[in-house]
Amino acid sequence: MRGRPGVKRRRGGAVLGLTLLLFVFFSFSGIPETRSEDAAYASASPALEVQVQAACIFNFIQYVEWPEQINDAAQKEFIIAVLGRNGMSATLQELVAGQTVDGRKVVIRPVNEMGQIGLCHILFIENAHVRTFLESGDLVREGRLTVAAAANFTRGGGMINFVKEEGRVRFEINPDAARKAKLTISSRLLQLGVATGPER
Amino acid sequence: MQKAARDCPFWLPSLAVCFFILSPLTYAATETSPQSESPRRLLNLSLEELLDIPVETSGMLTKSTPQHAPVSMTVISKEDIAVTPARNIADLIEIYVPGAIWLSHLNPRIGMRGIIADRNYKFLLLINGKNMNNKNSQGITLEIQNWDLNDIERLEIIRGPGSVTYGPGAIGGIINIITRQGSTAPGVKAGTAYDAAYQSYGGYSSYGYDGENMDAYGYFSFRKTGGVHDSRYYNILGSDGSHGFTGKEFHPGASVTDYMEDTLNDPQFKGHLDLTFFKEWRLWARFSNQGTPYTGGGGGTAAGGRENADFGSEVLPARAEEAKAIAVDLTNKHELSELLALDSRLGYKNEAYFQYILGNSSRKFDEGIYNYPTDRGNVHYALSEQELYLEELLHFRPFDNHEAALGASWSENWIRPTSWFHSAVSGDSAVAGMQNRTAVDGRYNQDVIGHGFTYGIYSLFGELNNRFHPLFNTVLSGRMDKAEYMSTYLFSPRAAIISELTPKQTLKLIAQQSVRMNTLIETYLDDYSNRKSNPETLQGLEVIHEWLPFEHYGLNTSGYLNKIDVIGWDGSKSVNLGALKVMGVEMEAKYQSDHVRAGISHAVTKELDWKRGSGITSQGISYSNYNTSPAAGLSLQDNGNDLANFPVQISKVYVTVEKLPLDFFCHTDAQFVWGYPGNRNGVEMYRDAYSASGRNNEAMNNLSGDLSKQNYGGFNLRWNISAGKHFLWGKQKFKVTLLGENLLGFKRYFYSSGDSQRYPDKITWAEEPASLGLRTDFEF
Repeated sequence: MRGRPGVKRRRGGAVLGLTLLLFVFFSFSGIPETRSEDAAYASASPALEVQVQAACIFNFIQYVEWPEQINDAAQKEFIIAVLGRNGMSATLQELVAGQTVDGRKVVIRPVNEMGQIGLCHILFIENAHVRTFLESGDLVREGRLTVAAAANFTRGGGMINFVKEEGRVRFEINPDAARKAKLTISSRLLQLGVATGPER
Repeated sequence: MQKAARDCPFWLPSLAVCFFILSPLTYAATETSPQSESPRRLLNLSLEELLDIPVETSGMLTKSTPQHAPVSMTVISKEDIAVTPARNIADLIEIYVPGAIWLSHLNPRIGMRGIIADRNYKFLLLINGKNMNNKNSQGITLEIQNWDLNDIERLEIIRGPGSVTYGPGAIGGIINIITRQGSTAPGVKAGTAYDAAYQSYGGYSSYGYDGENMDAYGYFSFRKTGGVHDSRYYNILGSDGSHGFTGKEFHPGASVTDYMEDTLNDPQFKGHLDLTFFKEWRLWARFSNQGTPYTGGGGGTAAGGRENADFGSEVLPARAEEAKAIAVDLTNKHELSELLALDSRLGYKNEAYFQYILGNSSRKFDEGIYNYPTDRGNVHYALSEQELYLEELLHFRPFDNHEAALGASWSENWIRPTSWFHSAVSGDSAVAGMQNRTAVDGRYNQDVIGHGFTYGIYSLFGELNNRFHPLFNTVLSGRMDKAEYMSTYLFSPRAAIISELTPKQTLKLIAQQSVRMNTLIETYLDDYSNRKSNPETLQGLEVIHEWLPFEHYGLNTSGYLNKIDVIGWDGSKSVNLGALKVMGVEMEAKYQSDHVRAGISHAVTKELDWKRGSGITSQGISYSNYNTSPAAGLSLQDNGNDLANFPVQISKVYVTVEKLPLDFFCHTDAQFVWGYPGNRNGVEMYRDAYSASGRNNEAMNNLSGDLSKQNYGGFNLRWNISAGKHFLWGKQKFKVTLLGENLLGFKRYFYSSGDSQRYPDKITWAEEPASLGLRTDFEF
C-alpha cells in the first residue's frame, strides 16, 4: 500500500491512542475480576512451590469430611500441624492466618518432634521427618489427614503427597489410608489427584 | 535526498510509551485489601487453578521459579495464541515479545536485541526442550512459519543468550515450543482455518487421553497456502539503479511469485504423538515441514522466476527452500532419593533440507539451465541431517535453599545427501550448490563434502543455585562444548545475583558469556583447510527488575550491554566479521485477570560501536564502519551509528477481553516500529559516495528520492484485530473467530547482508496486504 508517511504516522497515533484507551478503560472498568491466573504474576517470594502447596492444603479442607469426634474435640479451632521447620509452617501462617472453616479459626501449630504432635485435623510432615514418621507406629490416627512432599510418602502409608509434573504442582492420594483414619475424601479430589498407595 | 517527512525525534516515542507504562493513571483505582496481598491471593484460586500455576521455569539447569530465573522470558499461552491474528510463530514473537522483529529472507529471520542475520543460526528452536535447529548450515528451519498453531500449549521465548543452558548457538535467544499433552488437552478437538489474502486454508484434529498411569495425545494438521497473488515487492536491480514495485508496473505483462506461498506447492503437514507413562517417562514423536520463497531482489520479480509446465502458468520463485523433519524424544525424570534426581533424554532427529536457485550459471555442473528446481543444476542444498542425542542431568538438593546440577550430553550428527524431496538429486553431493572452492587446495566445497560426513559434539555443564538470604541468591552456571572439527573448546559461563528487594520486587544482575560455533559444514570445511574455526562470542551484562505493584499488574524492565565478536562465512572460510557493542532497554507492563489480558512494551536498541574485521567489505551489521569500492571512482565509506536491519525503537501493545456478554471475546494488537535509521544510513552512504566522486548521478538521485517518497526505513505499523464467540451445546463447545490482519499495511523488509554494487542492491520489501480470516474450533 502506498501512502504518505505523515498519514501513516497519524493513523499509527490513532491506533496507539485507541488501544491505550482500551487498556486504561479495562483497568478502570467494572468487569468483575474474581480470579487471576498467577502464571506471570505470582508472588516474587522464593517459595512459590511451597505457597501453592500451602494454598492446596487449605483447599483440601473443602474436599474432606472429618469424623464428628475430632470436630467435637477441637470445637473452636481447625488445627494444621507442621512437623519440621523448613518453611511450610511460616508459609501456612502467612497464608491462612485469620481464615475460618465452618466458623472455626484456622490455627497453624509447628512442632519439632513426633512426640509433640497433639490433636490436629491436618498434619504436614517436612521432608527431613518423613522417614521417621513412616517408620513410627503413629501413621494413622483417627481424624488426621497426613500430607507431605516426599518420594514414596503415599506408598509408605501417607495420605496425600505433593509431586511436580511438567513444572506444576500435582498430588497423589492414598484413599485407603484416609479411610482407615475415618476421613471421607470427595470424588472430585480423587479426580484431581492420582490415586496411589500400597494396595493399588 | 528529499526528506518527505521529518523523522520522529528519538526521545518522543520513548517518552510517550514510558508515560503510559509508568503512569499511576493506568493503575486500577480499586482498593487492595490485606487479603489480596500475595501470596494470600492464592487463596482466591480454585484447586484446579492452583494446579495450573507453573512453579518451575525454563532458562536454567536447576529447578527454579520464574521469579528466580536469570533470564528475560516471555510466555505466550495457548489462550493468547487462540485469539491472536498471527500467521505463524514468527508473527506471535513479533506481537508479544518486547523488542523482537522478523525480516524476510527465506523463512522468517528472527531478530532480538539487535541480533539478526541472513540465517537463523543465532537463535535456538526447541520443542519440549529438545534442540531442533538445522546445525549443518541454516539454524532454525522448522516450525516458525507453520500456519497451524493448535498443538502448542505455550511458547517460552528467552531474549538474550542462553548457551549455558541450551548449548552453543543460542546467543540471540531461545524459542521453546511446549506441545499439548493428554493431560492438558483431553478429549477430541478439531478445527478449520482460512486466510483470504494468502489463499491459505487447512484444518486440524487431536485426541487426548488423561489416564491414571498414562496419558496420550495425537495431533494432525494440514495447511495449504497459495500465497498473496499479485504481490507488491519493491525491488532494486542494482546494475543500473532501476527500481520500483514488481508486477505490471515494473514488468508490463509479467507476473510475480506469490508472497509466502508453499515451496513447490507442498502443503504444510504436522503430526504429533505424545505419551507419558508411569509418571517419569515421556515419549513424543513429531513430523512437520515448512518452506517459503526467497523474497530478495530478483527473487520477487518475474525476471527471477520461470514458468514451468509442471506449475502451469504460475511463475516459480527464483529461489526457495523447504525443510521436513521427524523427531523422536524419550525423557525420564527419576527421583533417585530425597536428595538426588536424574533427568535423562534420548533423542533422534532426521531433517531433510532443500534449497534451490534457478539458473545459477556458476553451478559446477555445466549442463545448461534447467526448469525444474530439483534439477541438478539448480540445487543449492539437498541434504539430510540425522542426529542422535543423549543427555544426563543430575540434580542434587541437600537443603531446601541450595541446589546443584551437573550434566553431560553427546550428539552425533550425520550429514548426507537426501532423497526426501525428489529423486533427481539423490546420490549427488549433499551440498551440490556450494560452488565455492576451499581455501587450501582449490577443490570445490561440494566435492569436499561429497557424500557427507559425521560430526560429534560433546558437552559438560553444571549449575549451583543458592538462596543464602532473600536479598542474596546466586546462580552460577557453566558449560563447556567440544565440537569434533573445532580445535577450540567453547566456554559459556554465567553468574547471576537475584535479590528480593521486597516480596513483590526482584532485582537480577547477570554476567555471562555465550558462544555460537559456526555451522557444521563450515567448521568441517575450515578443518579440511587447516584453518582454526573461532566461535562467535557474546559477553554481556544484564539487569532485570520485576515488580508487582498491585494485584493483576506486573512491570518488567531489562537493561543489557552486549559485546559480540561476530563471525561469518565468505564462501570458502570462516571470517571475523567484526566486533559489535550494543546496549538496550526493554520495558513492559502487563495486566492479567480472568477476563482481560493486556500488555504494553517499549524497547530501545542502540549500537554503541562497530568495528568491522580486517578485509571485510560488505556486511549487514552496520554502515557505521564500512569500506568498499564497488566500481571505479566510487568509494563507500562509514555512515551513521545505528544497526542495519534493526529498528532503534519498537513499541507493542495488545488487549484481549474474554468472557464478554453472550460469550463473545475480542483482541487487538499493534506493533509500532519507529523507523530503521540504520537502513537509511546505507542509502545516504551511496548518495555521499556519488557526491564525493564528483559525479552527478541521476539514477542515484532518482533512487534516493523514490526511497524517501516510499518512506523507506521510516515509521512502520502493523495492526491486527479479532473477535469471536463461544457456543455451548451440552458438553460440546464450538468457537468461531474472525480475524483482521495487518489492517493498515506493513512493509516487511528483506534482511540485507550489505551492499557492494554500484547502487544499493539489497533493498527490498514486501507490502504485506490486509487480510481477513476465519477460524472454527470444536471440542467434543
